[in-house]
Amino acid sequence: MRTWLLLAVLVVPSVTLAEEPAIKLYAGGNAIWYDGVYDLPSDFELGGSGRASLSPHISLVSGVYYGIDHSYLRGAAGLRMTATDVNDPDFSVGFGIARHASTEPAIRPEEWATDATVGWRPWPVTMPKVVVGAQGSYGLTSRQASLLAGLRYEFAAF
Amino acid sequence: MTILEALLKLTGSMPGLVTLLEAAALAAPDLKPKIDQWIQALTQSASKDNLVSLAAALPAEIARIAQFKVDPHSHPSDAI
Repeated sequence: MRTWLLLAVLVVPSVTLAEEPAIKLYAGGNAIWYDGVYDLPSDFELGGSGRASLSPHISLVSGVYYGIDHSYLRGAAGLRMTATDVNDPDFSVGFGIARHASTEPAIRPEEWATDATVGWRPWPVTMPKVVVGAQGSYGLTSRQASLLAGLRYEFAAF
Repeated sequence: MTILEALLKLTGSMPGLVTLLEAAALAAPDLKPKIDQWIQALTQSASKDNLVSLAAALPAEIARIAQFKVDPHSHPSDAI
């Protein structure tokens, strides 16, 4: 009996606290623009991204995407700081910096780039794992801007 | 470079994102009210007052991270 009571004291608080997972992984797709003309996208991409949330404002972020039309693979990893209400799980704006590289340097040079990102969970009750968003990025060496609109599905959290 | 100066540099790509969102609002008028909210949130989050508040919060968070004290939060923008 004492053992069961001890287990209840240890287990119940950990269940009721429902802590946010530190790491989340997403599958997703993007429409991406490289040339500053917002008519048709420069390419469509499929891939995945991940984040490690370290503190209310600071996260490590990364992603790998394959450009379908131009057949390239690109990746990025960096830091992002949330600049909106850190307790709003359904909408946020983040500013960050990431190291970018790709198999096609003419499309995405290897360089550091700053980014501004908007993310939104449009259906937090019925589809809590779906996120839509947009990002603007600026290469600090190439001075090249790129923009993307993306859809993400959270497939793992731990 | 101070934390605030670094944050101001990081917001450099925001105008391009606003341009994309404005183009999206023109292409999808039904979504314009929501997109306008996004643009307003973007602009407000990049304001100097907001960045000053953010810069003030970061040192304590960095110190806790350095002590391996992680405090995860859910931010949809981290997924993009």
